[in-house]
Amino acid sequence: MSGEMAFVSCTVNSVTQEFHVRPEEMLIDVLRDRLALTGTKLSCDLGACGACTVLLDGKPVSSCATFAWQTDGMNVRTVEGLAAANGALDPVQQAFIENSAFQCGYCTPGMIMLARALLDRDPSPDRETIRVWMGANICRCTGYEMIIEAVEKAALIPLETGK
Amino acid sequence: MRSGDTAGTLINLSALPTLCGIEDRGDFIRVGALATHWDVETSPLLATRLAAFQAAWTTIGNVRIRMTGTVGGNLMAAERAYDGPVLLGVIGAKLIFLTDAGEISLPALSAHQDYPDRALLTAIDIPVSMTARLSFDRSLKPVVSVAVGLDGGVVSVGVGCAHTTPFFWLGRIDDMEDALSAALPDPIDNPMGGAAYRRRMVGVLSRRLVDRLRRGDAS
Repeated sequence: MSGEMAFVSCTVNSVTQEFHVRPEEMLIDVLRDRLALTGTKLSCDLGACGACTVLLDGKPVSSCATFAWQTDGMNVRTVEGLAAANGALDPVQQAFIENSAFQCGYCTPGMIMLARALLDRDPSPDRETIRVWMGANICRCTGYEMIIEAVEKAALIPLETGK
Repeated sequence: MRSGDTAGTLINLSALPTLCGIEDRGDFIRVGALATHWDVETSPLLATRLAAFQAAWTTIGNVRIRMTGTVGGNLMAAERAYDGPVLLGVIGAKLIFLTDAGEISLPALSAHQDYPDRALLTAIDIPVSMTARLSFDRSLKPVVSVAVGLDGGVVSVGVGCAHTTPFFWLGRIDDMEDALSAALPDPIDNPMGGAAYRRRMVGVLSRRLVDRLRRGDAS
């Protein structure tokens, strides 16, 4: 690419999206400004804090550090795409609410997406695995204990409810 | 990029599958430049043949970074706080570049001083040795990080973060403390860490890592 627009076709929350992007355009800007998916938050803008975490083919990535053209042919999942079609919250979302795993809430969408990626890989992680995995994202309110406990609880919800 | 920077040309290297993968080449393991940190962390081949290297490399970044960041990117970013050059340097890895004149191989411990022009890093060759051992301490990052390789009586020390580029010292283990101290250039002196403190910690960490290797502890 050399200055020209790149054509991208991807799915975002199971909906096919096609658009032209500038080479330097970042995924978070496409999500927030073009698709109005403002649940994904911009914070450090360096790929360090994880507030902008989305899933790219199931992997947690920093959308502020991912070029939009890198999503071509891939599946993007944001926090808006977690709830079931009937509106039922994802177990991670439900557990975060029940555990009050947020204060200001700004890091919460990224934390939830990071936790979802973990549980998709390891449905029954132990506390140390959760602690290390969730250490990728930063909570400025420092509510880490409640976040870790919420992920532990989320891992149990499918077993309890069969959702 | 979001602040308005633009790139004259962007090339999507991920379309080159030959740069991916981790292969057994007998007396060395070839790691493709586009292998992610996660690929290194989860490679059964590395777990079997270069377990200490794999354990050390797994301390880089966090899961979100490791799933996206690549070994080649870690090297070519040339950030002084990055651990890749330090780790690869002390274990005698070689960087494979594709250039206009063909493929060239450069030692990891010196390649960072002068990366070749018009070249593409394609792979990293890591020697497999039955006797070489590796230990790494990044607990004082971003002030200083130290990696130590030990093979018989020969020790190699790699120092990251403390200078603008990684520093390496190779010598006999019996001479290490004095010779390393004498050879170490003046470290960076800034509010994050004074030069004297960094120098002192290089000595402490390298001695601690050598002791750990002598005891047979894993990295």
